[in-house]
Amino acid sequence: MEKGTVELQVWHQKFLRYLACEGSPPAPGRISSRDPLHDKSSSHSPSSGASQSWFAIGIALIFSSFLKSPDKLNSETQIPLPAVNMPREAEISTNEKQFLKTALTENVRIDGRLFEQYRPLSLGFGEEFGVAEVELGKTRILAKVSAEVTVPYADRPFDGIFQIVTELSPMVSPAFEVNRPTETEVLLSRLLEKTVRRSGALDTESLCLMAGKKCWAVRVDVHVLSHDGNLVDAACVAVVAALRHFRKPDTSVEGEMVTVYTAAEREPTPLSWLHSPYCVTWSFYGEEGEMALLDASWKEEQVQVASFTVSLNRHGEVCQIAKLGGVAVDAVLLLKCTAGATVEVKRISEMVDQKLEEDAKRRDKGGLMAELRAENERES
Amino acid sequence: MLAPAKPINCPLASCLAWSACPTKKFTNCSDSELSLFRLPPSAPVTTPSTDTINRFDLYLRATSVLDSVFSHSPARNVAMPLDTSTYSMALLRVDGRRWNELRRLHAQIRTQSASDGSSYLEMGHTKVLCVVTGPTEKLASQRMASSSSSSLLDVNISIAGFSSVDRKRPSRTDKRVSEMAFTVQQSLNKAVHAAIFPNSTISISLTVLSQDGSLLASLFNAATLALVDAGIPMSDYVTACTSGSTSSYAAADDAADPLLDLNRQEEQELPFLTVATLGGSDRVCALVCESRVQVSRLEGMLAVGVDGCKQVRTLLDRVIRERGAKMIEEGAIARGDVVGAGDEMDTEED
Repeated sequence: MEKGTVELQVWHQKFLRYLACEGSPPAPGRISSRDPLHDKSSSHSPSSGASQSWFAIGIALIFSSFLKSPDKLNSETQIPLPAVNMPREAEISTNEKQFLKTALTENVRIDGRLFEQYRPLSLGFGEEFGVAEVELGKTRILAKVSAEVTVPYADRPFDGIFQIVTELSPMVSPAFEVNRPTETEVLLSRLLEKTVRRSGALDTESLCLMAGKKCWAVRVDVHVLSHDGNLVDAACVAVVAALRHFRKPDTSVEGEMVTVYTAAEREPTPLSWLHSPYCVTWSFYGEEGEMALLDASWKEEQVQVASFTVSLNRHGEVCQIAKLGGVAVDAVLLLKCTAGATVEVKRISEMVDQKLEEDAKRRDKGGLMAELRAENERES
Repeated sequence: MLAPAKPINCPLASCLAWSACPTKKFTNCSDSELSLFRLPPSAPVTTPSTDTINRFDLYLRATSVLDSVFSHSPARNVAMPLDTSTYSMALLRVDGRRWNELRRLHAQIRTQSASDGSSYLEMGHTKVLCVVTGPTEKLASQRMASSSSSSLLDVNISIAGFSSVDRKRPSRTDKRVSEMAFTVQQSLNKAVHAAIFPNSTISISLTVLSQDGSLLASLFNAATLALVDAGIPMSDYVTACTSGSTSSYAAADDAADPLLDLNRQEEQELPFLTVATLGGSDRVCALVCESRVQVSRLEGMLAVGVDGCKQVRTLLDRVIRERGAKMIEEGAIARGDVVGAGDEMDTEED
């Protein structure tokens, strides 16, 4: 069994234990701090005991979902939920809406950013390969990649399986339920699917081990840890970074025998990665959507009249465009926004490349030392 | 009206001339040439005779476009191989259209007399039925369920199993379909004067009978027609069409032309996007692109798409007006009445 799966099972058991000791589930901040991946403590802590238990159930469900096989996930994670109407997302008040709109007409955003300014974007990697955590302002997303050997689909014998699974659990907001995908979740997963999978960022043919018989199934689980707007952009960075960070076990094929080597036997290999697409989301405001804001926060999203997500890679190729309704926006403005997005994508792309490089250096301590020593020798 | 084609006396000579002539792109044309070229597809099409010699001659005439003349009749009967790379030679697409021609758009409204509003729309071989019910009172469950509670419209799309080449069992949880439904709903929501109908819901149910490209665009157009038929006040038509580019994402060729209204074959091979605009304006309600394309191509594709939407609007408007005139003729509604009496409306029939 994979190392990650074992670890997750341990976590899962831990959470089940938390659930068992009734009434006193540990605060989410503490959960996060025990978790080796989350070295930063969570900024969200539910205030009431009831929401805490929801939180714990959400966590337990997330981790239990890791343990299931991907294709059976939807049919098998039937958890008997209490038959209550889930509370809706608290709506932003009319006054606040008005304040936001008026401020925008005076070229001011409530958090003091410029219209075309991103919130600070940070990217971190876990100890394990294939885990990335992205923070975009207060939005936090965790993506984890896992791979296993399975049988390819009958109609695609030469392709491996690649899927992106999104989870919006009640820990983000009580409006999200497990097993009942909301509009937000469907749109998020479709956008990621179109951006990363359909654009051919991952070469699925390279995942094939034995035509029609064995292939790798790569799965990315996207978990939204906190939602403060612009999930799409943050999730996309997380998915791309996690996939590029991921190393799958090395394999060899002899006749009809596929051997999967452990990390100790052979160095795990990175995935065959073709290009890195990133999403950039614009939000529109005003009667005719004449004001365009980059990277709207949750509050700003509640007031927007339309949104426009464009996915590009640094070579200036559009991978996906989605303006799914809303107020009609002038075509020229959309083109301007796309041009702005190309600049932004280059910046994000550089950032991700740099972080990946840093992480690779950190892991390659021996190699780095050797390099330094060689340099010193030359200098002396 | 298209200018008459230049007569070609010697097919062989023009053939030689054609092979020697470098490709001339329409982008080099003057505005007048472009406007000449930008005729609606309803312009009379000279049907070529079935005589094979004439057909060959017609093909040559089509290729004479390379001599900078865009002034020949669209040759719809010329057979083209499936490979779209031949496009650069004759500037004719697989089904014999030019870059800026829509397929045949046939539409009807009031097809289901029992419903509040209904329409049937064909864009080429893509066929969509739409039925609008409402406005009705919002159900308690709907009020609870939708987090975006202000939504007036409720869009359902069902794609018939026999609609495409490979039969698929319709699944209720297809994310692609629910995304399309969401797009149609969100776009039309802003076009409909929703403030008139508080606490109400209008359900739009779309049935796809046949798919041959431009599916989302057809859904938009059919839904708009049915809403008009149901008498729901809207600020303008929401019309949609697709536009593509002849270049694949890998090729950095400059010779790529934008294309209008792609069929299924073209959609599979070429990058394309779906544009929906509000009325005859340049304002875009929905813009959906799912394929990889150079960002520099986008402008051309969008311009052609928006232009196509205007053409579609004219066509849809004609359908509505013809139907209205017919109803007045039949006495179903009195001239000048905004809405006829309920009984009369019900009794009128196709």
